[in-house]
Amino acid sequence: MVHPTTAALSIFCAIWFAVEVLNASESNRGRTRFAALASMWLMVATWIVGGYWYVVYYAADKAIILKSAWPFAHTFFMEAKEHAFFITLVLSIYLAIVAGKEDFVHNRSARVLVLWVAALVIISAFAIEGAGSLISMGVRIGLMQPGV
Amino acid sequence: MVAILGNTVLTWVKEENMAVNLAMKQLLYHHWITHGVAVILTFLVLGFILSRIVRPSACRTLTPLLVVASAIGALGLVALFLILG
Repeated sequence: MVHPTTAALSIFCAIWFAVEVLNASESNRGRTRFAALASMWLMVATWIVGGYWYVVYYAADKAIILKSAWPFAHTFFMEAKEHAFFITLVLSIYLAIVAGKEDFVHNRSARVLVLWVAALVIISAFAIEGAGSLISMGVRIGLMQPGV
Repeated sequence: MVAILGNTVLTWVKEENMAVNLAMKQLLYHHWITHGVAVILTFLVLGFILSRIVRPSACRTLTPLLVVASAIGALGLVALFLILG
């Protein structure tokens, strides 16, 4: 599927951004901003592609999961994931805005701020990826179950 | 911060109140689409307004507030779906 891939690439870009900020200098200013923008656009792509899949195709998977031995794959993991994603999306847009405005070479508090935001993007996106794999497992368990 | 906490509050409200959920569904075809657009618009509009008011040196105070808001927002969602699930 496309959206877990764009989300994983967005995580890699957020890690890349954090590394550039930790080594902030006049020479890597452009790369730092590019990494933040790439992370944001990949997260926006995840929203659009994942959202399309969720709105158009997920109903069939949901029905299978709810009849399976793992109904919590939908009632907890999918429900939490589809709403927690907006926190990650807002943070990744915020990261790109701050990266475009602040001078990380001379402003230490801006460096600390974006490193925290990047860490939140990375941790929350990884958690959402993990929830996604549990949801896929819920569908597989449902399909293997006789009578579902 | 407002968008992150607003996201959690809106989730609680629409999960507890089916009339709100239905209204969101009617507005933009699916409640999740309306929810996402509302959160992003809140973030962009309030962010634009507040960036003109807040001092440039606000990064230091913003960091702990943002981390706490994200933690409360995420834990609020986990608690809601643990209760409902």
